[in-house]
Amino acid sequence: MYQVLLTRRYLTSKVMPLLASLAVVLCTAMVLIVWSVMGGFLVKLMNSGRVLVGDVAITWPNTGFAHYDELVTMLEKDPGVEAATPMIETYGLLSLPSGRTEYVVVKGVEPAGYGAVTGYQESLWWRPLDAPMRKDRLREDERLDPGMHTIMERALANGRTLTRPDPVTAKPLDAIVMGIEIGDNYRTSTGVYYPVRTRRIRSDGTSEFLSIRPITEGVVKLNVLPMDSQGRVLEMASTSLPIANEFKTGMYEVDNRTVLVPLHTLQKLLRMDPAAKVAEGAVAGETVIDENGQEKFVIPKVEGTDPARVTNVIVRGKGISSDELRFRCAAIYKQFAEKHAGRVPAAPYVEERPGGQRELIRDSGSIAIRTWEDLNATFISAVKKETGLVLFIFSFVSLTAVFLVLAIFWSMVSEKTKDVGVLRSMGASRTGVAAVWLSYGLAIGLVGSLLGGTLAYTIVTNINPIHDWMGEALGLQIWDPKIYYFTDIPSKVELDKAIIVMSGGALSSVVGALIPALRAAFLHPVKALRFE
Amino acid sequence: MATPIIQVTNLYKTYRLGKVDVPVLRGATLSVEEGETVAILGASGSGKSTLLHLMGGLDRADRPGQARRRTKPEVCDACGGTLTASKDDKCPACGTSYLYGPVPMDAGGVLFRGQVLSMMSAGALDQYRGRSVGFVFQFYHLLPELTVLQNVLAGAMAGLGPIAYLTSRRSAVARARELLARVGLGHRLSHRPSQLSGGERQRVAIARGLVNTPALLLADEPTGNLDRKTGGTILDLLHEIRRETRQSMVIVTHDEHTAQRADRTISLVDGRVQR
Repeated sequence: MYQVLLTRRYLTSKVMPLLASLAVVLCTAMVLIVWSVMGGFLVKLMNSGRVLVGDVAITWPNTGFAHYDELVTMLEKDPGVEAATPMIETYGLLSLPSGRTEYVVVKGVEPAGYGAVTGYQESLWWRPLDAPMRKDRLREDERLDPGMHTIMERALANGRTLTRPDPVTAKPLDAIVMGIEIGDNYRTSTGVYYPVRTRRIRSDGTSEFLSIRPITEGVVKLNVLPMDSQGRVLEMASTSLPIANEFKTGMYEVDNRTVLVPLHTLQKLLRMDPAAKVAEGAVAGETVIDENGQEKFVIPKVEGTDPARVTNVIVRGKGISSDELRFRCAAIYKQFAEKHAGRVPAAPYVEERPGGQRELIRDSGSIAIRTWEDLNATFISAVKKETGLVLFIFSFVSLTAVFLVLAIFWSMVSEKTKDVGVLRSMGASRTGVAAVWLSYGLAIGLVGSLLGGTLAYTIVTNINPIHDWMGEALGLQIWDPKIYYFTDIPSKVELDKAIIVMSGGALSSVVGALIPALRAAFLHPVKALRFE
Repeated sequence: MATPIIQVTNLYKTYRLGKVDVPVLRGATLSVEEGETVAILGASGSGKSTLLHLMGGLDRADRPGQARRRTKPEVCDACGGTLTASKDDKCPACGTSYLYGPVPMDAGGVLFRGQVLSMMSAGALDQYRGRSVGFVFQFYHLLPELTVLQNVLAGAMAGLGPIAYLTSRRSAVARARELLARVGLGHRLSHRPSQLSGGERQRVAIARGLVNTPALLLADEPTGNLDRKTGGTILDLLHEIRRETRQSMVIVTHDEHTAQRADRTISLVDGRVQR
């Protein structure tokens, strides 16, 4: 009881412990801010990374697999599946209106189905905007311009259907939607994009002025490398596609490398569309001598139709985790593969582990069924490791709080030596005396970590206004959207993390108080009373 | 026949100052009866405070064996006479006693109501200090951050332990208030020690020493830091309270006037009691 009394009194009557408490405040706040910002960064990247991939992808790259419509129907019958859609993913070369050529990831999608499975439609950039983005205080974004309203509405509609009307006939033409960072756009420090639409760079380095707006008049040329159903590379195929819109997922690697085209366009380019199936052995165009000695061309016998193929079927779950969805997809795909045995890739094997754990075992002949986390595993684990490393470094730096508390408590124990002797003379045990200092350390730690938590919460929830203020008042811009891509500093305060950090803060104070507490406990009562 | 509350037998204590051993108590022996006030009179450095600390369980005496010799000396330290080889441990010429050989279990120590302090566990010794004895120091030793009332209550908290204190909190507070009123500080409960005079601080220290109703009050120069008039008042107070409560009291002092007011006076010279 006297521990509580003395702790309360020491806490309110001494300046030194306030310094110790301040150290805990700063260390707690520092670690929590770093964790929240890095955690927010990770969450933002993960959310951005899953915008165009759905929850689960069933993938057989290169040659693709047939009968996908049937698989989509089977998947959509499952109550855990919200929607499923076919998709082709391949690589290509894109020639931009400016003459620049970029290497891109080409996704062939059915716009409606793709919109149902992914956040694609929300990611379309060119659309009418009622309110400016947070940093666009000067309303420089041309999407806000009432004069551009019609163009933006049309671009949004075009983006949703992956078409753009022919300027002469008004007939919808298949069109392309590109990542916002591929095109010739200029990104300002407020996160606003200006389309650079008046310049074309010639091969000799000179330039000419054009007066075209990419989303209304821009046309790109897409080159892809088709393969036949056996995986043999065929001649490069090209097509010109008008630009319907551009998208921004928030993940630079996606927005800088991905383009979307209608599925049937890409199927045609890659020769994955339905084709006549001919008898084996006959080669079209070859000349043979018939039984009458006449030379004639071989006309292969058509024996049916080779169905269209896709490389992916992507799925969006409903009320279940992506991991659970993966196993459901695997079970459905197994039925599908059994039905089309020999014509589609085999299903992966589900292995039951002790304790209810399951794992999908895939060999080289079986299809890949992966969650969006699996698809982004490399970059997620890289950011997680980076977060862990930064957190470790800052936590290590925060150990200074332990030594600061130790130094302050050591000096306080020296100052209070006589009091220790008095307490022992009144019957206080060694444990009781140690408890005075430990509870004092805990109190300082609790006060410090609570204040630190509050400080961190205040800073993290206002990190962008604080950053803006620093930019305006001090000319400091640490987070430049031109470099970091995100317009705002991402952050996320999570209660469990806050509890861990604050408990750590309180614990560090107790640890710091431990050695001085033991020193006080083992002071000889008589020597303590005679201490001068 | 009166019963002794505390018995000190053949007590030795040596302090080490650097590389030098300084013997402070050299076989001190005394006994205090229940309800008796004993003054221990002695010059500075005679071992009075050390004796009080040992009686109060604040320190542990040296084992008597440490003052003994391993083997019997051949020549008497006092008279130079030859010691006989017999088992007698006295010098035949001058009668000086020699302690040597193995230490008997009951040799020397402090007995409180029949309990040997040196045999007590650390916890039992804490309890002894908290409940059976009360200390009053020359320099008051109040806790400066606490108020007058809290200083007295701290004695109850430390002495009783958390559970016992919580169960008897009301009575402890009432007792502290009553004691402070008794020592004339009922109106200064919320004051800090720094706001009190020397005499007032000593009154608070007396109240603190008595808050757990100890059987024995050990006062170490209670008036040593006060002027004669204030010191006299403090002594009056101590004796009044002792008469009321019938507690035993040991007062250590170098002042003969203070000693004279006790039931009995014992002189301590060179670490030994002289009657």
